[in-house]
Amino acid sequence: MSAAYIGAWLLVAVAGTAMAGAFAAPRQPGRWPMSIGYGLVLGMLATAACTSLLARDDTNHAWLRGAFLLAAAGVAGAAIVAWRQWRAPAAGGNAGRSDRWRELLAAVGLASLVWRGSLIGSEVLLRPTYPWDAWDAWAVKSKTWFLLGHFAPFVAVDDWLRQAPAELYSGPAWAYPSTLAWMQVWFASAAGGWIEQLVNLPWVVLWVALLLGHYGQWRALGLSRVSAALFVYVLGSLPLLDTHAALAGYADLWIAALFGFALLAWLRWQERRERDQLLLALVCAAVLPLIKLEGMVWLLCLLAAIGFGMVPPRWRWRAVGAAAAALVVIVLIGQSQLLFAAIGWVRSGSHVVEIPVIGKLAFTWHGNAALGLLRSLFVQSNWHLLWWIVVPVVVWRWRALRASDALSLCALLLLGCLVLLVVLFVFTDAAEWAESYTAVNRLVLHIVPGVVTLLALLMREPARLPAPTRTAPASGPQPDPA
Amino acid sequence: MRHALAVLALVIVWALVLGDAAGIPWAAPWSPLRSVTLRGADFRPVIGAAIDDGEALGVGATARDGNALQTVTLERTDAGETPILSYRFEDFPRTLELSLVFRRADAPNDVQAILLPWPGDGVRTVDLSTLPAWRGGIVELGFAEYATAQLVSPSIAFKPFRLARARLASRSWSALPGLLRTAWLGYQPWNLTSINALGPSINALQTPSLLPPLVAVAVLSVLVLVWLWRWPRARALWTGVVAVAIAWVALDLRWLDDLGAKHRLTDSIYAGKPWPERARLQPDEDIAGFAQLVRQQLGGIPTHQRILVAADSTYTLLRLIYFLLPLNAAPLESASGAVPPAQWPDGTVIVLCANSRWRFDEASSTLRAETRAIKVAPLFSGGNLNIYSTRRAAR
Repeated sequence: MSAAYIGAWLLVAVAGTAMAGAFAAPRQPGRWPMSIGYGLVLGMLATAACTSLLARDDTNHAWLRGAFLLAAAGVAGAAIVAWRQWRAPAAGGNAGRSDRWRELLAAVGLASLVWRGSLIGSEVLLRPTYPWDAWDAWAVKSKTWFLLGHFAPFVAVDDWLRQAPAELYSGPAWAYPSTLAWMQVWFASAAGGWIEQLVNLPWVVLWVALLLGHYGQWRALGLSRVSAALFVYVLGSLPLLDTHAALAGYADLWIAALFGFALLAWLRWQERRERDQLLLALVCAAVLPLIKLEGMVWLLCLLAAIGFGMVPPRWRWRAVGAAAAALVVIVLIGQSQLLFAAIGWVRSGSHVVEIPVIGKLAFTWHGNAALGLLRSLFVQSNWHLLWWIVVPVVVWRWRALRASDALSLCALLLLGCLVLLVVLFVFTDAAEWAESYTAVNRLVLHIVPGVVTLLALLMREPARLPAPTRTAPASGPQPDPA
Repeated sequence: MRHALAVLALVIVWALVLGDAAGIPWAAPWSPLRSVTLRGADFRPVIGAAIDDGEALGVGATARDGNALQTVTLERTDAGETPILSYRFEDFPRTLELSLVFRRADAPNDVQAILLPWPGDGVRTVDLSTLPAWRGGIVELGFAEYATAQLVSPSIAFKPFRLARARLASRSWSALPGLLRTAWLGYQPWNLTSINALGPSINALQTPSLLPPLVAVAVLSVLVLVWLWRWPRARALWTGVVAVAIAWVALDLRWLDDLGAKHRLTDSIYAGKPWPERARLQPDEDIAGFAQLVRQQLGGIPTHQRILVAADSTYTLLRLIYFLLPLNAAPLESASGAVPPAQWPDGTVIVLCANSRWRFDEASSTLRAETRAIKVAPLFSGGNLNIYSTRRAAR
């Protein structure tokens, strides 16, 4: 591993943390883990922006060309952090006290995460790119651009054949977003060659960042250190989540992290009216379609939830009723078209809906797909007991759920996402992906960090529930930055 | 008294759930009524080389293709009566996979093969009754070994090992620990579907899943204790939470053990090697070799030059395109479906790799597949690799 590669990572970590820190309220519990977690993700995505903007004609030196811009963004973020820190009054913390045995459990859980992280990291650093779509779809553009030394457009195969003299490329995944490809070019250039293990290392860092970001935000949302650590263990122990880090190269872990981050930041806005966090939620949500086409669906879900949360509670269900009525009219009329600014024309006909991002969906019941979905959630080893405990925990903590507007909205959003997945896999031609288990778990993965967040917040101790309007005391115990 | 009753109830609950998970009938005896025990030395090498090593068979070499096979002829053993297979190997390398191979009396020319759990060093036990092919009279039984598919290059996979023994037996309660241990605690190597779903396997042997029985055991145990000891609601609730926590940790320890075992294979192949060596150790070294050969044959082909690739296997096709990067390649099938060959750029290169669909007609210098035809000039032909160039003048 060269000094340049290590330097590139340090730049990503420092600049990213500074950028994310600009969104974190000073003296809040969990601000450092949150800043580092979000920062690593934002920093890695910023490398994609820098490379695509500044290194199209010299991809072999992408990181050197983009370093200045990334460093400048980091300095700007650090300046905002310093300014806010200087202006902020001292605030009370909520470190609280924990039972010794719970601390011990949390420590053992974190130790297991460290051990598993070392296995995952070592796996990625040893093996060349392994899973199918990693080399068939996600690394094709990056490998091409890096080995060519410059950018070349990817087009549909008919354009590719008809415009022969031009340096165009094609392939099954030509239309996929290029964000991750640009990021891989940055790290390849820092590594000094197309070394797949080093190009894939961001997936390990993403896994760490996902856990850190969730820990920090859970702390800010009122969980004690021990409870937050225990739920970090719950999240980090999920086998399919670990697998997506160990077999690096798919985009789904990025979607899961960004969806989870957007949801957490939005919850902070909902509970504490922190405008920076709303902005952060929108940033994380906006990046989703730039990672993977399905990200557009999650972006729309998040925007719908954010919009729904902004409607005064007494108007909400009327708004939902109006939207549902409009939907029914559209379906009844048949062959109607709706223009969504972001995704183009959505056409509906008899038992068919055509959505640009997803394609044509014909609605029919697929029993085997329903069984496949159930097996994926409740029988296979993908999620430990996560899906077994969701309903019991919601029932158990029903009062806490009903008492919190933020939690109700969060549950509603996740329920909506789950219903979308069920409709997709059980009622449309996508059923074959559930029957063959090829995509069903990967799409479920996208919302899994959000589901763990819901469980974690439902299990919050009542004393730690947020009080957004309460004024912080001028003096008192110093906050716990962890 | 109540304590003894609780223990008894728990034992019954656990036996019921675990027995059901392993497919052991309630009426089954403790020990098998029928069994056929085979010493390793009873097997004979059919592919590869092996020698008798006391009671065991020492397998010392594979055939040139990296495969080995040892079989034993049986006195028409009834498959339905002896579905429980136990096997034991020693020093079986992590880089190899193991398959069960057998013939039936009603179809002696058909060889049936099924992937078995990796044997490790202990005894492994599986129930073959879920296999549709496991019926009638079994007249030959054997084990085949080969490089772990999609993970290990065949050139580095083999290390000597010993086949110690195998046994076919009827169902009995004594098989329960072995069946569950093999199904729940056995190592499963990474495969191309691991990114989509993690066991139990859907294509091979139907092994019992761990999750539903674990949930059933936890829920029923808590219910039994609450009922027998008349626990208040709050205590029952916290017992449930503790049961979930214990079950979660148990599942996670099992996953960490499997992850560690998966990593030991990766480590055994790649650790301590420089980056170029790790890149060279591809499990599909044959396809990487084809890509190298294409590069050699095409010399300094410019990157705007179109290359169309066809192969019978989608995996081979896409993998070859990836290995060829930054050469400008795409699948031939999608190209021929999108644009008529007459409109392709002159001099488009066509690479056929392990392909049986497209045939070259030498007389007319034409590549044909069903109703499609492309005028080409051959550039290279060798083994499973053929390279052509389209010729505008010839159309």
